[in-house]
Amino acid sequence: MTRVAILRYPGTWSERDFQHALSLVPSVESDILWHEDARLDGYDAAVVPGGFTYGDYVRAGAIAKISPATRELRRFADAGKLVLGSCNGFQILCEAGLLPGALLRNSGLEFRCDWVHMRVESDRTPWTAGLRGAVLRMPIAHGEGCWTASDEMLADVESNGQVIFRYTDERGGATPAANPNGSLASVAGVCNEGRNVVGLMPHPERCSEALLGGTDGYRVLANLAPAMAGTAPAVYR
Amino acid sequence: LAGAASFDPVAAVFLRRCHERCRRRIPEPELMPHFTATIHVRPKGDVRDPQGEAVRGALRSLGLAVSEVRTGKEIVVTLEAADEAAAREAVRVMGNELLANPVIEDYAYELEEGVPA
Repeated sequence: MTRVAILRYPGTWSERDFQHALSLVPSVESDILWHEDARLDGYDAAVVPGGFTYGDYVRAGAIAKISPATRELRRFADAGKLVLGSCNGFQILCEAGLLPGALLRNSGLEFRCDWVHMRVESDRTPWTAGLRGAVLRMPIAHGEGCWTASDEMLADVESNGQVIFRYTDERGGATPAANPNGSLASVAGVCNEGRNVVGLMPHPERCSEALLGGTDGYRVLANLAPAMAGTAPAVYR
Repeated sequence: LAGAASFDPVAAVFLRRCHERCRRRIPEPELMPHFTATIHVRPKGDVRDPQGEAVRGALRSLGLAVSEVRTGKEIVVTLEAADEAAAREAVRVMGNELLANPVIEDYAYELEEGVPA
């Protein structure tokens, strides 16, 4: 069994969706852990779900990074365990410095609740093994999803292949019209240098079964089983 | 209540939570001077500020020759510290750890002794 910890902070709202979506993946079981007493020993992966932790006060994800769970997540990530952050979870991981860059207000100042397409730029993460070049369709729901970084940081992230998802049209073209929030270089998701921590603005947990209008999220989450069984190519190391 | 807690499980839980809250609380400083820090957080020069752009458009529609607007926020903090140096150090921790994100924001602050009027 692969054991996944799903972190819940005050204002997290996607933890049950994640638990349900992960229940569809064979030989994966998950627990929802309250952030203040989250102990990640014994878990193989951790998920930081979406929501509006602490009302997005100061900046989205900023107050959550002060939580003791951040120290625990850093230790877990340093040990090479798998971490996935979606939406507010992505914002928290960036604020905590576990992922590069920061998320600004959407360039149109609009909250975007929509389906988008994104291209998988790298299969060198446990979450995207075998998906390189795939164009995935996933829902987004955010007001602060405009990923940004300094010129040097962007150059590093691009040259290290740390851009994992890029907003595109349905044919995989990264056009300005396909970028829902003005993200720099159309970035929808990135990984850390160790490639075991991945964050993205879209919601894989909300498109993991046909009833919800899409199954592309499942293609990401289902990678957990082979990643843990050691049957996936360990290319991310 | 402590007596009740010995046989009432609800009171016992209540009492335990009270103790936990007390333990977590930072002890009240004794006779330390108060300082007021006014902290300004602004997007870095090269970071896009869509809110500022929207405000610029609105101000121009009032007929004003506004060429650029940058928006930020001001946070006023009253704190206790042993002296001015300690207060400055505390404000730097606030700025670096929470109030500003160094990837996208800069901050500056003014410090005064006393509480805000």
